[in-house]
Amino acid sequence: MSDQKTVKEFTVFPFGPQHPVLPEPLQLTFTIDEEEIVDVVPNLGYVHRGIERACELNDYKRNIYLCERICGICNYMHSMAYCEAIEKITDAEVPTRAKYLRTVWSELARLQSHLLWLGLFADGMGFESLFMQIWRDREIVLELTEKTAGHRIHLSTNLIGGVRKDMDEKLIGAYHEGMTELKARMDDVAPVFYRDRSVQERCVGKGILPKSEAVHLGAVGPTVRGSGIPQDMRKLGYEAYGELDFEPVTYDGEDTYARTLVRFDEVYQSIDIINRALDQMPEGPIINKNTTFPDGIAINRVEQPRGEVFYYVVGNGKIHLERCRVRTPTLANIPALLTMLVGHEVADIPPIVLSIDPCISCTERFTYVKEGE
Amino acid sequence: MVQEIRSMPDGDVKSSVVDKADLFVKLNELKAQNARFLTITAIDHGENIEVVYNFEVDSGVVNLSVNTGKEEPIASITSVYGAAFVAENEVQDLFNLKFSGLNVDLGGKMLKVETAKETTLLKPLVGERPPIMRFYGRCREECPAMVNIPRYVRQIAAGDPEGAYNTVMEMAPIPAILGRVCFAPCQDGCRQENRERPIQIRLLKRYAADSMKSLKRDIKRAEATGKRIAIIGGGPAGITAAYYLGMKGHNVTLYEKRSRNGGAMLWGIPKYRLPKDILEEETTARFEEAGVKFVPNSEILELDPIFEEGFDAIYVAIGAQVSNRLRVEGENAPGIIDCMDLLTAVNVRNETPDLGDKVMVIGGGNAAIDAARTSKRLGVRDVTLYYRRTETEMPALLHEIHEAMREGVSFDFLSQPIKIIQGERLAMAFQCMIPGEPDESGRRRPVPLEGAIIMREADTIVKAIGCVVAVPDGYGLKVNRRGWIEVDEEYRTSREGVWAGGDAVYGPRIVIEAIRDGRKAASSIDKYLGGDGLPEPYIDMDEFVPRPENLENVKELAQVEGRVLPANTRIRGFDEVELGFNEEEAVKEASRCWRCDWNE
Repeated sequence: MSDQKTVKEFTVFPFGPQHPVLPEPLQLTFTIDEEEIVDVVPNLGYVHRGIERACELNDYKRNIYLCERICGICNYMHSMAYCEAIEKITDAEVPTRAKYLRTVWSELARLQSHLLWLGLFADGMGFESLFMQIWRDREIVLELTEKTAGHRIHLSTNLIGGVRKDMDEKLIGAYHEGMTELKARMDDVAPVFYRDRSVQERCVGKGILPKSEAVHLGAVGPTVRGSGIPQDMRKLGYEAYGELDFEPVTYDGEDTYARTLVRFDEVYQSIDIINRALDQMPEGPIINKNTTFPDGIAINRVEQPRGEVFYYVVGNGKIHLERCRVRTPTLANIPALLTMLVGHEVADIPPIVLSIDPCISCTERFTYVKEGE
Repeated sequence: MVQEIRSMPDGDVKSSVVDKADLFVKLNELKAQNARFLTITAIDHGENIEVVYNFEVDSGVVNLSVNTGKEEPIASITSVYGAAFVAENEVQDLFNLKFSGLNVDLGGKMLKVETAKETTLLKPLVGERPPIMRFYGRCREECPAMVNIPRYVRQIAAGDPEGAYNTVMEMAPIPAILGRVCFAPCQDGCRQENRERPIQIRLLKRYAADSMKSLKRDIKRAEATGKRIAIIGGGPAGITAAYYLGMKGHNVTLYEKRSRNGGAMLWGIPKYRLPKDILEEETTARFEEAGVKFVPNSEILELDPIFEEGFDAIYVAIGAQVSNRLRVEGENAPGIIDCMDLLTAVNVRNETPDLGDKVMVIGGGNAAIDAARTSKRLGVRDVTLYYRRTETEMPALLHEIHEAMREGVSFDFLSQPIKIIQGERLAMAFQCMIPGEPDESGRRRPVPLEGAIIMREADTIVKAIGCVVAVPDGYGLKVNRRGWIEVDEEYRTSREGVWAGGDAVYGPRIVIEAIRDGRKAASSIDKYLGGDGLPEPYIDMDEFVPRPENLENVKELAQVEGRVLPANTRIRGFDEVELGFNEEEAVKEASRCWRCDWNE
């Protein structure tokens, strides 16, 4: 029997694209040794919508609404990032008040997204009551969004050169009130995230992304900030962020728990930024329209709730863009996700996958249609 | 090899073009600087593909741009930046670019979609044409000649009448005439019309043309082709075809029966609407620009001699020249004249015929109104127009009817002539009518009212009940039941090398439709003679058109009243009634356009 070689056999099983704890159509093919994950191969591309191509066919102003629909949750940030890119290559100058309004609304979008994620994450861990509570608190943000623009999710207030809606004193008051209430609600759930043992047991030490690897894997957003790297595109100072003093939230845990706390602390940070931005906001016009077509190349990066979004826009002085490339944060986080998963148990897959806040539907927007076929 | 590429306004972005061979040297340099991989952007330049590697160094962006052929593979950078595999797989799928040494190569199957073959949801078909976000504009759609009205209104508003003039010239070569006589169907289409205050597009065109003074412009004809074209008829269709064919480099000769060109515009349109010197100046300028040879006083009755003379193509635009008959008893009595004869005498021969004290005009078209207004100017005290239907069914323009009423023309509606009795004065018996059921044209058909017959006396009866086409037999062209020349959609007749258009094809119509016919036929003739034809109406997608700042304000702007001669002054002579816009008025009126051709 000694000459008989024992070949170790692995099990391969698919996770997704449909899975109860995975809200997004991503397939990860796991190779497992008993319970331990040995290898993982991602399979993307289930939800193509051809938006990059459509951006070349649409005229550049209508792309605002198209880009807004790249992602349901980050809709405001996408249109803002697109408008900023176009503003760089046209003669549009955004008035200061519009910059502050954009800042306030993008932080409101961040609050909305982070609260959604915190709820989903609680659900992924099996903590249903926490999920219910956080989603109830999220209603405060959604109601403010509705008061501002009439929709609960889509603000759709961006235009090239500014914004289309202004805020009056009454609405600003409602924002301050909402922020105060949300902060009190967050104080209620804070002990659960900071001290609850059941949360910590599912998260601490799971999905390690070492600080040394995080940058080379191209990770962005809360994923990389959970590994102790203070990378935050808001520090580039776009819109009014340059005038608002804040430091990126970082945790050194390098694990799922650290990434969770980064997001939870960012909720407080966003509340603070909204309050201060509303206080500092000057009076004035809200839009300066452009008089030229986009001409040249513009690169724009904006910090979304999930991390940095990257817009590469090429205009040639015509109404149609030559190219509009979008790289969403989730795509950048997928290589990091793969390294996080290896070495952990199958039961840890849901919290680890959720810890990058995957938004696959906004990652996959491209299709290439060959002419004549 | 590093060089600057296209301008990048963003301060903290560095871009460089890198040779394929140097790529890894640069990559390792970047890795040593702790650069973070952002993504790969591929741009299809047709011949080759530009692959841009985007990195972040110290919160700034660094781009490395590599050009590669579509077929040749490019080395994968996953050995240096493992994270690049997602982006490389994406580019591989989208642009069919092969990456050699790609770690985790999904084999062009990362995207779970097949190439779209056909779709019924997206119109037009995917990849065929970008969706049109610009419209023709309602005014332009209403215009038979599809003149780019939105653009020239914009140009006038921007203080550029010369540009506006040239815009009109693309589709219609006689702006000064159109600015006076066009019935302006565009104004019915104007969205300001919703409030019954359309932009006065016709007067704007007139302003543009008048500021150019119908002068011969300094433009070049296309290279001479050596082809000879004969055009029969110097009306709007003939002038248009002659101009565009001449500009295409052909050798054009225009034959006109009368001594002056203009056709129905010359004899049919009164001097108070179109001063004849303006007609003369403008058409002469056009003929000079296009090198058209004008041969007056030559009636062509046969086509064969023309072909024998060496002409390659013939355009027949002889118009509708023969008056309809009244078909009542006593029609040939003296004192009954044809409106065409009256208008020709006054407009062409500058005569002042004696019509007596009381004139009766029969008919409801524009020619009838013109005859009535002309009679009034000839000093007739009592001019009455008889029409068998009511004012709402009159084919004449409402504006013209009202001007005629203002000048003192009486109207007697629902009166059908049945008999002419010649006594001391002429007398006509009319059957009184009442409006009945609508007929196929949507107008209410008049029905005789039993027993209601009235008698009216007059010194002169002017009949203005339309004209018919009379094609000379020598032409050998196929005509239809109504005597109109039969043509196909490109205005080709039944005879090889012969085109037709204008009133000769469709019966009496308005000037701008004849111009459309002339231009289309010119395009067809040019193609027949080996040219590439004239451009079809198109939308300039690249023209930058800012929408007015505040649309509601634009909608509220009041219409600028065009200046006219006072009614009591104008009936004393044949001076032009409308005085047009000056610059201030034109710009003000043009600024009322809220640019519905532009969809933001």
